[in-house]
Amino acid sequence: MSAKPIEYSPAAFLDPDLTLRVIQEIKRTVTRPWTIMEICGGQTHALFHSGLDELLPSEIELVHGPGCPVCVTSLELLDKALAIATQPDVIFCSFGDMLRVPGSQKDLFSVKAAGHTVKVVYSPMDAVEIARQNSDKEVVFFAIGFETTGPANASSVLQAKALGVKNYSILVSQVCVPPAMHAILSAPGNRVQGFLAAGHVCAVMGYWEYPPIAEKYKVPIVVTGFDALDLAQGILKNVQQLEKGTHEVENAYTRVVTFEGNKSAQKLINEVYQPCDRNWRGIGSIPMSGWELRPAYQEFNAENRFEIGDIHTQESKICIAGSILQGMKKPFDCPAFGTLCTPDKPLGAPMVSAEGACSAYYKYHSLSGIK
Amino acid sequence: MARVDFGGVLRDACIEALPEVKVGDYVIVHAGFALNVLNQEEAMETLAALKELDEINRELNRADSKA
Repeated sequence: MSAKPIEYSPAAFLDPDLTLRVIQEIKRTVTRPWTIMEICGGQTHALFHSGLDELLPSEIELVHGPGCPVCVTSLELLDKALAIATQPDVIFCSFGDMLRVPGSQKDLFSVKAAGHTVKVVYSPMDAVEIARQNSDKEVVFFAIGFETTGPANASSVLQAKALGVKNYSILVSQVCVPPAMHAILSAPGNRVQGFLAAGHVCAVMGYWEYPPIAEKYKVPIVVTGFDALDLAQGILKNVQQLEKGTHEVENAYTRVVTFEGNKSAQKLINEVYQPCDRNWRGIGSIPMSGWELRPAYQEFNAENRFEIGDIHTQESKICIAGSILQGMKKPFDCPAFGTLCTPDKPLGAPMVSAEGACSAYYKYHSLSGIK
Repeated sequence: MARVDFGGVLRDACIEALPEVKVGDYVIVHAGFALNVLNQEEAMETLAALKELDEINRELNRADSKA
């Protein structure tokens, strides 16, 4: 219709007027209650930050998925990280939000406070550089994350190998979204009827893994972005399908995501990693739900490089993080929420992270009480 | 490596996984790693489709109020 295309601006997807009109359309479409899960913790925070959760019709319940990498990193691996970080001549590097995640006895912050070297890095590449500059130390990077951190973490290993950096290793806790969706959908008592698939995971991996899931469990899956308009659009497409009774995989984030994903990024991942079973904190073991280093890159495996004694894990007795991560309970259902457990003194990982559901409720709903 | 402007903050990002990236592109960066080039045409198409939906909505509302 319009002859001249308007120039793109990233702010266009934050447009409140258009977002409100998409919400109007959701209200017009919905006729009965639906439960939709946003997998990604980044989306949980974006939903609350934009106030979208308050604007949606009461028929739509959003449940928050396990897509918070620090939340699902197994307690055993975190305890191993803490054991490695306390060894002499180790520089332990991590993404920042891992530092306050409680292990069985302590967290990385308390290890740092006790005088050990724990550094926050923005990228694993920074850790490789730290290793290059400190050849007399062992530099370990805590390679946590979903598919989104895979390319960077894998690349850091390739970089260390190419540069001959022998004192660099990674402690791997890579997890993958599709096996978690299988686990959620096949769990007894599952309530999830539709999914917002995590846009940035799909940016890397594409969404070719989702049609069999949509088909098997008869759920619509909509690849969704992170701005208010993206989220509203993802929810609208879900509701339209639920009302019609269809279960297609749709892409509502076409400006970033393609069906195949980023092949170069996938190549980096496949070069360094292979699929493996992985233990998810609060959820348990999920078959083939993670990546581990391939045999050719085992020299970079921190678990081989350090003597780690027996690990005896112990979870907080009060924290209900597991039920929250599976969408079975909400943070307000937890007796410790906002009292014994706060972002300053978290009992469970979801209260720590910028992607954790408890932290989102605390940050955006601490005054509004039970919703 | 490439220099990326994060709304005013300049930082280097690795473009190993993004060989096709050009100066001036919008990119998605995660953990210091550029993952995707943002497709501006697709962005404009999405916005146009949502605006069109809005037009249809208004028409329907007008029809409703007439009925």
